[in-house]
Amino acid sequence: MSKNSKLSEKLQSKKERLLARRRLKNVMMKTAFGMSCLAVFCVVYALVVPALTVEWPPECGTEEHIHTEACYSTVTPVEMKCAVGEGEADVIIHTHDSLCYDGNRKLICQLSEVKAHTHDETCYALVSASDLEAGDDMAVEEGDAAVAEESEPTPMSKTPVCGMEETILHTHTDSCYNDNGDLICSMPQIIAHQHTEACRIAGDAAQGYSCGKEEHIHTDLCRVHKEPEYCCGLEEHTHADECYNEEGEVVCGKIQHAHTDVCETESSAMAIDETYTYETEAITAKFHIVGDAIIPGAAHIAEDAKLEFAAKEAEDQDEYTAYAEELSGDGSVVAVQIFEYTLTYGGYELDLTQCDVTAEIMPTETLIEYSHNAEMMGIMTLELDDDFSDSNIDIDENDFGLLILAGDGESEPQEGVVEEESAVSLKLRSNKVKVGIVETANPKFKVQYYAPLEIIDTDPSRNVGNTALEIIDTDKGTPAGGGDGSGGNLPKNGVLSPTVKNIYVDSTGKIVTVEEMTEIYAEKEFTYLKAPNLKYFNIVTKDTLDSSFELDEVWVLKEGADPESTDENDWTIYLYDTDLKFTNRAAAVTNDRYVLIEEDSVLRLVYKAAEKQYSNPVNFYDYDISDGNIYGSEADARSFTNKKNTSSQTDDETWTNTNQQGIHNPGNYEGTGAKLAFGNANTGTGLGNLSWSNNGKENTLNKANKQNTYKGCTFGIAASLDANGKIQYNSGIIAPNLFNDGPAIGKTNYDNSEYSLTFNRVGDNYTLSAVKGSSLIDLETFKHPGNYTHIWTNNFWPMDSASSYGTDGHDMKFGSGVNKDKRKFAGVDNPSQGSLPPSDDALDHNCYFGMQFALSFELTKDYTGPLEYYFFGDDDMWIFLDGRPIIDIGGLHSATGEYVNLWDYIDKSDLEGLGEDETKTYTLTFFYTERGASGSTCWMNFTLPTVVGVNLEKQLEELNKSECGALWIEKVVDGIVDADAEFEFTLDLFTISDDGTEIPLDDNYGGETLRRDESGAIIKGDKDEVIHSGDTFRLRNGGAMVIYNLPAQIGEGESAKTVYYRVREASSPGYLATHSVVEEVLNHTQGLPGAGNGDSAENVKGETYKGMITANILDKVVYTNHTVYELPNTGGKGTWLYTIGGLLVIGIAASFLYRKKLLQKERVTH
Amino acid sequence: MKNKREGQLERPTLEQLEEQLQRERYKVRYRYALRTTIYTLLAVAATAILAATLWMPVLQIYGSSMTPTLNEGEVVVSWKGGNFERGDIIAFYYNNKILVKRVIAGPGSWVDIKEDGTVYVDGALLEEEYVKEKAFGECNIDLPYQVPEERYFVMGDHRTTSVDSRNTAVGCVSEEEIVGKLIFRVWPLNTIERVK
Repeated sequence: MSKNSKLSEKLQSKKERLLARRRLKNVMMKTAFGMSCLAVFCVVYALVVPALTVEWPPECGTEEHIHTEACYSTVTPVEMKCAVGEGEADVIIHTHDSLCYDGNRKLICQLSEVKAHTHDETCYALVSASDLEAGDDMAVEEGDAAVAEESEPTPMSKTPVCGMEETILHTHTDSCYNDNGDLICSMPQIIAHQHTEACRIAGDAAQGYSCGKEEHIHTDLCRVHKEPEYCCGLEEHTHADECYNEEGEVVCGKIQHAHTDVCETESSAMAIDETYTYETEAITAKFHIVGDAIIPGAAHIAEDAKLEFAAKEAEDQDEYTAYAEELSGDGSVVAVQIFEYTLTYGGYELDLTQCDVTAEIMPTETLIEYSHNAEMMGIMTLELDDDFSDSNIDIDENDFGLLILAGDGESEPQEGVVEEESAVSLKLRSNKVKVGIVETANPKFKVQYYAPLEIIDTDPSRNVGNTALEIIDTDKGTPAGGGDGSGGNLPKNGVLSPTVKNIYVDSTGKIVTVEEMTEIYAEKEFTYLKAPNLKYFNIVTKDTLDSSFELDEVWVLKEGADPESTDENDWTIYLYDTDLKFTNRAAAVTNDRYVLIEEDSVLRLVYKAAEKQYSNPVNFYDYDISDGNIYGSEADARSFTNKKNTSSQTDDETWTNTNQQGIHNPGNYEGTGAKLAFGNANTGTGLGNLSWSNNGKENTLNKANKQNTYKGCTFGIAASLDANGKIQYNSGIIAPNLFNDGPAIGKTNYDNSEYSLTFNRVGDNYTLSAVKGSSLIDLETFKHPGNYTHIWTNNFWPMDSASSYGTDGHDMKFGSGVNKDKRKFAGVDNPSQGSLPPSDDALDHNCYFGMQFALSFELTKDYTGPLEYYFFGDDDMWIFLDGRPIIDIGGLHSATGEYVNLWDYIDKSDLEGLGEDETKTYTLTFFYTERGASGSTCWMNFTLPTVVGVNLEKQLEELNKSECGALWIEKVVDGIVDADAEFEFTLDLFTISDDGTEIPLDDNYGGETLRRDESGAIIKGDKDEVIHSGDTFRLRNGGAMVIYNLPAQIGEGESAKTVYYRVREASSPGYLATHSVVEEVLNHTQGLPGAGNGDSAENVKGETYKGMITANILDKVVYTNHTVYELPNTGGKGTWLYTIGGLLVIGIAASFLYRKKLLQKERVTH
Repeated sequence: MKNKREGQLERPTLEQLEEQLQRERYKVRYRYALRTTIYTLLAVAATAILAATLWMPVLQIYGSSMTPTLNEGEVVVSWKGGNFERGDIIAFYYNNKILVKRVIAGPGSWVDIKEDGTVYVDGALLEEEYVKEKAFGECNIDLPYQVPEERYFVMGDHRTTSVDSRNTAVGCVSEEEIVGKLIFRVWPLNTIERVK
């Protein structure tokens, strides 16, 4: 190749390189330019500053929203159907949650949001010590100041100022209402409620917007701005430099002010509940201001603003003179005082037109003392200075006195006597109070107390066509007020025709009554100034909220008429209401709302009987006459084989054993005598034909005593009550513990307030109407049972609703006419077997029951109204007045009645010695049994003043504190045990004779089994027990047996023997038995023996414990079974094999390691 | 040992040397270009920052009280400095925020607004073609109103909703508070134009 060609090649290649370089450079530059633009863009973007154009914010109240697809979905409309709505309670605490909204997130809840609030420290305002010293009433109560000064640097106001009410949950119960159904509870009903799904009802799902928002785009209209109207009257202004001069003084002439919410409101209300006192020499005025006081305008109230009350005397002398002249017609004017009051807050006078302002005008001690001295003083100011005395008048305190006449200048003045504690209370309608002290006359007058009482009509002439019910009349005719207290004419056995009278049943089944105007309290005499109004002489209703009577009319005897007349024409009659006033000033009688009292006036207060319901606690007792089981045949019943549960009773033929079973168990009877029994002579009890000698007759005790007494009754069975209120039977009669006198086999107590008796109450007259706790109502009405038109009954079967009726362990149901031949008894007597008696109304009933209740009434020395009791029914009815029998209808008989006039039993001298406000209390105790099946009637009516129910105490509370102890035997298992496992115990009760022999006790003793609930607390078991020495019983883990009334000694004097007990537990395999004994002081008032103050004892090994009964001591014997553990047997090949194996493995591994080391060494050597 | 060589090195050929030389030269050129590019970008960014902060702040419009002239989201460039005349749209500081309003009257001028929203400045009717709908708005100043010295009376173009010098809440704007005058709209791209 030539040189030229090589050169040209080089040049060519160079040229190409240059071109390539230039192209590259262009590309680079373009790229750089683009990147620069990008950099500028990014920088500028990062440095963009937001610039606002500022418009008024939307004031339409709606959020701007445009629906998107996300807003549209399936929506289920929901309605709120909550049972709790506004009005359900005074306040319902509720917070809206998701359940308050529907699928469209629309609020469907009908309740307002109310938060619970409990006052805390922040709710009370702080009051400075200086305010305390000033005696600021609104800050602290008397006494608090001293406490605050001593201990608290920042005392609190007594009234919360948080403006919120405390929400204390409260739901009205029966105790919040009186017998009339009126609400007497002052607490508002506050409940809390949050909705549940049950409160909502879902409709059909549909497509809809689920976002819960309206589609809205703000327009100009949304942003139209309205400046708030400020009522403060000030311009918003902030001082700038130009507002100040060189000396720093404000010269702009404007007030620095920034508008607040207060500035936008015209006025605000302030809740007030305060009392202020204003005193003058003559009177003390207490102003009670309650309500919302209005702060006028948008006042600028300082943060430390206080309420300030001020009163000042009026300055217009003419006003004084005018008021004095106005009062002069009422007597000589002693003094006149006129004053005005204001209440301010932070310097602003409050508008009190929305508040209740009540003024209490009371005489000062100075005025009272003056009234006693009764010197005339000048008008207008009361100055007890002799310089102003006009004249001295001989005042007989009984003829003249001073009155306070006070008013607000817009209505008639209210009057009050100048006496200690007297006050004139008036509602103010203006801020002015005018008070006049006037001398006035003091007339004597008499007040009578009458009421038209519903008396049971016994007049046959008024009851033609009505059915007569003959009743025994025990009335001896003692007048009201009492007599010698010797008692009435109780019926006796052997007298077939006692004194009787009739009561009448009308066509509606009601007992006929008649209204008679009756004096209920003795006439009393008063002087006007001592008794200027009803508060002083209305003795019937003055103190009782639950009064039997309400004042209805005030009669004023006309001149010349007979004070004892009941003819309305002899009286001027005023209808009573709270506006009725009494005055001794003729000038004050401007309308018929004023009753003028003059010398020797006779007033008759006529009351109407208040109609209410009265409830009295009652105990019921259900008695069984069988063994508590049923059988398929007579043979089974007699042999007690193939027992079936009573609850399994069907319409098939059913037998039961009645031979001295249940309540007739011989263990229930102590001593000797005729046994009082149930079941008549037609149920095979073996006791139906027993007789009892009394009054020269052999009277049948348990069936109709027809040959001997009136209507087959057996009188005199119950003799009296002992000191503990327990019924005592007459000599020759023994009876089980039928009432609150202790446990008995075959008896089920309902004495835990399960039932109560309801009486219709009209004034002081009570008629049994219902048994609460059962379905029995309308007991005041007589009916015919079934087709028996000659029988009048009110079907008194309260135990038909008892839990022991027809249930296991109790009598079977009988009485139904349909199944009467299927309900059989197997017993003794004649007949010894047969059908249990059918009921008169052909229905099953729970026959054989007892009832016991008590009530008290009070008598004052002035009471002159009736004291009566009527009873009609069967079988036994015994009533005692303070332990003394007043009604005695005993035995098995058809419905029979008796009447008692309790004045026969009231000793007049007991009442005459009572003081003015003193009362004497009497207690009536009622015992009733139904012993004969078939029919049951219990109608009662009584007239007694001031009746109060008496709670019968349970037997445990009647323990003889000085003679008995109790025994508690408890079972505890330490370890795992089957909950149903039972452990057997035996109890021996005995004395030890002189030669060391154990003599078992014969008596039965009442006890009860206890068990523990889930929390471990001791609770009563299912039924009472009767324990006899030698008896066995079973306990489960945690259970206990308690036996009461164990005598500490048997016998008296030197022959008295200590009573011992021995408890033995049958051995239980797998357990180690120990026992511990604790002696505790017996707590007689508890329902269950509980923890006392005994010392705990250590566990002692052994299954038997012997102890001694100690009076007033509860012996607690706790048996603890400890689970005995045994370690399992060990043995076998052990672990040597594993050890050897392990060593072998180690050895093999070591040998491998050694071999490896050797090989390594060899390699190195080679 | 395997492949063990003792002693001799190979000599590169001429072509190989040239190739290597080319590669070295390329490296140098590459580095040079990269450095240059980076420096250029830095310089450009710094210049943009200086421009945006010292002379031409860029603003993004929020709100609707300057409609229809300025709408929400638009980005505008403003110019600092210079005199502000009636009709200019200015950006100014107010409570640590930048507001945008139109100058209606300068210091010393009398402004009067009638009930129908017609504006008079120094007694002369102001023709406002930029206002779509006249309105008196929320005006709580005493009219006629004289603009204080060194202050400007401003109003938004959307007279109904605008909060501006008609209300003491904003009042007149002092010269010191003015950020600049809006001159150009640069975003959205289809609205790039001078701001009138």
